[in-house]
Amino acid sequence: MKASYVIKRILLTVLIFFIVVTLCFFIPRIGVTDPASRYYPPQPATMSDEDYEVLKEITREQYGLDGTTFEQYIRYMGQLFQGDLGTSYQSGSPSVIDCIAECLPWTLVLSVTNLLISLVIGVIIGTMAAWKRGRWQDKALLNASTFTTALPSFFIALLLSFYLGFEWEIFPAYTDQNMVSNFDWSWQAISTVMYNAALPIFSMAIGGIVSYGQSTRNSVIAVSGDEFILTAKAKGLSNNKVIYGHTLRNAMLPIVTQFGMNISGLIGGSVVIEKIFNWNGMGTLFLTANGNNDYPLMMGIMIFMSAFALVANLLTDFVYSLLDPRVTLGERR
Amino acid sequence: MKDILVKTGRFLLRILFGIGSFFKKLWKHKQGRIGLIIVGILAVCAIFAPLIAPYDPYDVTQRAEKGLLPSWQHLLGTSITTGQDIFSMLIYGTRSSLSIGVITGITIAILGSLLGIAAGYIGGWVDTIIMRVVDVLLVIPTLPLVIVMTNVLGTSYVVIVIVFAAFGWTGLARVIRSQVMLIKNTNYVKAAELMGASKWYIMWRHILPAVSNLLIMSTALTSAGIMVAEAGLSFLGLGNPEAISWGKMLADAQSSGAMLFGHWWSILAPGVGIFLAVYSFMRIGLALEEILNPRMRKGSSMIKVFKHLNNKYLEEVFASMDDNSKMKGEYVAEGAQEEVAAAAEEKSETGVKDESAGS
Amino acid sequence: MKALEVKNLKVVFPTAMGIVRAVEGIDIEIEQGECVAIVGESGCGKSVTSLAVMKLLSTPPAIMRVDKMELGGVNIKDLSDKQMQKVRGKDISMIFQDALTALNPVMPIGKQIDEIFLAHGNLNFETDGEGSEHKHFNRKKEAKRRTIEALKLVGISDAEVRYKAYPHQLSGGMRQRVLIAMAFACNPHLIIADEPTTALDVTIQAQVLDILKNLQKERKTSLMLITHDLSIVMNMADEIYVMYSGKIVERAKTRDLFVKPLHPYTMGLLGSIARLDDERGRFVQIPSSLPNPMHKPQGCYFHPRCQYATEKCKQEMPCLEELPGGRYVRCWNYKEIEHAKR
Repeated sequence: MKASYVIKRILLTVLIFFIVVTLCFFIPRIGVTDPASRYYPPQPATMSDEDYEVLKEITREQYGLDGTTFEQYIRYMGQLFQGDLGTSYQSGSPSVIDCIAECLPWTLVLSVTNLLISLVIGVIIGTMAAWKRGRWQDKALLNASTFTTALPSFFIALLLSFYLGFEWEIFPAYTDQNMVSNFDWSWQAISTVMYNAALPIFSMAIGGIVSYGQSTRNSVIAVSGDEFILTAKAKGLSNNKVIYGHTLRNAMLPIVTQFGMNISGLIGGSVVIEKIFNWNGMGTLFLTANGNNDYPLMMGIMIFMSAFALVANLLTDFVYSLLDPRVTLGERR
Repeated sequence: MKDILVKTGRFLLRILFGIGSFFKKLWKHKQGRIGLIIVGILAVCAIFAPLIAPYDPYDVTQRAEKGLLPSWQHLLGTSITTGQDIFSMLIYGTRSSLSIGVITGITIAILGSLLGIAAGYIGGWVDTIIMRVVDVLLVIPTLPLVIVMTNVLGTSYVVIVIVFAAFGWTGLARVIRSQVMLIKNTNYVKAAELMGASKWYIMWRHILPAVSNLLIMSTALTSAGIMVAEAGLSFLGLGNPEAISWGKMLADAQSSGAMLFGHWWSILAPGVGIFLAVYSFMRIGLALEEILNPRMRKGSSMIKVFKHLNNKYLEEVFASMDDNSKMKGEYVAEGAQEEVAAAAEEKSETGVKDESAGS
Repeated sequence: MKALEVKNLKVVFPTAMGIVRAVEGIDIEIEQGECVAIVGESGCGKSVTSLAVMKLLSTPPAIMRVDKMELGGVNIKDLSDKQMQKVRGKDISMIFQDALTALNPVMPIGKQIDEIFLAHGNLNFETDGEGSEHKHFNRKKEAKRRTIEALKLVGISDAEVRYKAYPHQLSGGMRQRVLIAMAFACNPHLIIADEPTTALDVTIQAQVLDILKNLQKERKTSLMLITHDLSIVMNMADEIYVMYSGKIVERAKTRDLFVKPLHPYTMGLLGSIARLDDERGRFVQIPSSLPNPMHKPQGCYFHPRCQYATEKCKQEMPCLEELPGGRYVRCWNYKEIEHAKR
């Protein structure tokens, strides 16, 4: 791995981030001459037009929308450079960063657990299916994969919350809101969180397990047809050595790519699930911001998610180049 | 004048013939047939919705009592909030889901293939710009971005199609680009270039036909994906508020407490609708993938033949090798005669050697 | 003692289309230190033969039968897969055709050779060549030392550096040398080389063949060389088996075969070699191609392509007839053909 590759790759990442920020800044302003017009209070009958203009100006300043669009852009970028994503329009005007910091851990609880469960169980199932190629286990996985891909996760979530939540009352169908406010790292609090998180995680993990299973299966079968597996057998290695040392090692390469892609979607991927279970995470935060036309918060969340995805991509490429000596960082596209 | 007419006539005939043989191939494929049948049923539902549905869910006067249980009057009961007939809503919901899926899928296919071919074939700065745009769009989380766009531009039908198309073409463009770059370096394209063929000619005659299979296949798969995304969007209450869609039906059912009342059918019905639509399109897409790329075929033929092969027959084959006078020319499994005929036909169609024939 | 003795090896592949008869009862005998070549067109079953001898054919799809299979006097016919693992790499090893695909792309080549020593080598004792053995406890270190030795043996310079190299970082000839080092690692009785130089340039081919030949002579290893190229066989092999469509059609000492081929197929093969002393106007070629392994012709498999074919050839398959001087031929009319040629 050459240093120039690393530098090039990082510079490219910074450039993409810059474009993303610019895009996030301008999208809410598409086709709107005065973005502040959404927030103007209605003109009272007693107020003269000049006074109303003053009121408008005050509103603009209050929302940080004074000056030309370009001036706003420069100001926004300046803030961003100092690590400030602006202030939310919510009551009490908390900073966007605080809002995100409050909700992020709750989303991560869901998505990280989901990802790990999907990865571990999926890889195990996929390896078994490859082992039993063509038998019923393999066919079951194949059918399950087309089946679950066609079932949107929010439909699975609704069914789960209907049966496991309402009918049989095994798991809570709605998140207990006290869970968030009362969280104190005690064992009881943690177990409450896991109890509440079970359904959302499970409804996301079904699809994830099957998708990891299917790609592991395909990858293992593809690799076990490669000639170097024959060489390994011809060397007289034991079955375990052939499977763990050669087959799985190579079959995991595409799985790493898939894992990296899933990591980059870790924060933005659970919007609908969070809504169904009333989970107080980033998705709910975003939907609330959308409902309130809280543009700084929406922009902030999107920029944060993009930055997360960018860093995740960079790390994936880095890890991949360590695992596959044929690939140098920055070359893989 | 007559020439032009004849030419366009021939062109149209050729396209019709192409579409015909395409459907024939799909129909022969078992999984593809399932997909085609479901899509056909859904399409009939969508087109003749007013004839099939017993009530018009858009008509305020045809609303019944709220939250009725399923009965012969209302096959799936009525909705809790508005009293619309759920079965009729289900039928009408086909319209928005299918049309958005198909129209967006086709738009994405056009956009993705144009940009992908441009990036792959022209290369240079065009390629750089398009690929940077792809990079950017892949980084921004899609659903939040779409939500912001609908917040800004409204939630009309056209806006939803445009927004989905604007952010959905990246994957296809990437695949097409790499495919085009492969074709670009083949000798027949180079030969055409040497003979002085123009870039447009090569794109039209060589590159487009080569990627067209890929395009048709991915259109089916993206349509399926878009239908899921649209259902999700309308589930969040951010779809077209005037249209009846399955996602909105789910959201209504959830928010109106259908779960508390135990009205499982009002959740299951739209869900099954979404599932069928997405499943059928995926089936078609996957079937096409197998038809166009025979190596993908999940080979289980081996095991099938093993069932037909009894030991006696195998012994006969082995014994014949010892005794030269018994040598027969052909050994085709008796029980497998039909399969052999089918496989031979398939083989001649795809023209691909059976991999299992040994090295 | 024979290094390898195989009697009546048969391999078939049942497929959806019918039964593919890949190998139809062939006998192979290789003396210790001898080099035997199996020559034939691609698709005639020679690679399947080599895998069958290694017992590496995956079953299913393949079904294999053999009357006798002895490696260095030891019966390996009935060995289980677990027992075969101890034999492979140690007593019998294999050189594959394309070294780029035959080596694990994500493992340094040194580690890949280490694996053989770790699996089979008696690594508790250091062997420094002087005959004196002293006890050694670090197995990995000893394996590495032997690997570097093996790499040096096949003419790889900077063996210590190359030890850490990945396959894609080496040149084609270098990779093939690594495969040869692997094959010779545990001093096996028999090495099977399946088209060892087909993927290489002609100049590199010669170098690699030299290394192979020298090592084989030096170590007195037996070699089973599988190739379609008669010209490389000429200098390497002691005995040649000509294979056609799953059957041996001619077997002779190298010299005899080149001087006086008996089977029309062998004549065809020899006719297609370019020679410096060539006086013919054009190459003799064998018309048409190998029969489909599922629909082989009635009678002698070669008769549709044979210019000497008679009515009998179309009816019945000839036997592999033993002639004086250790020659074998499978043809009804070899005597008549010989006369006709004179």
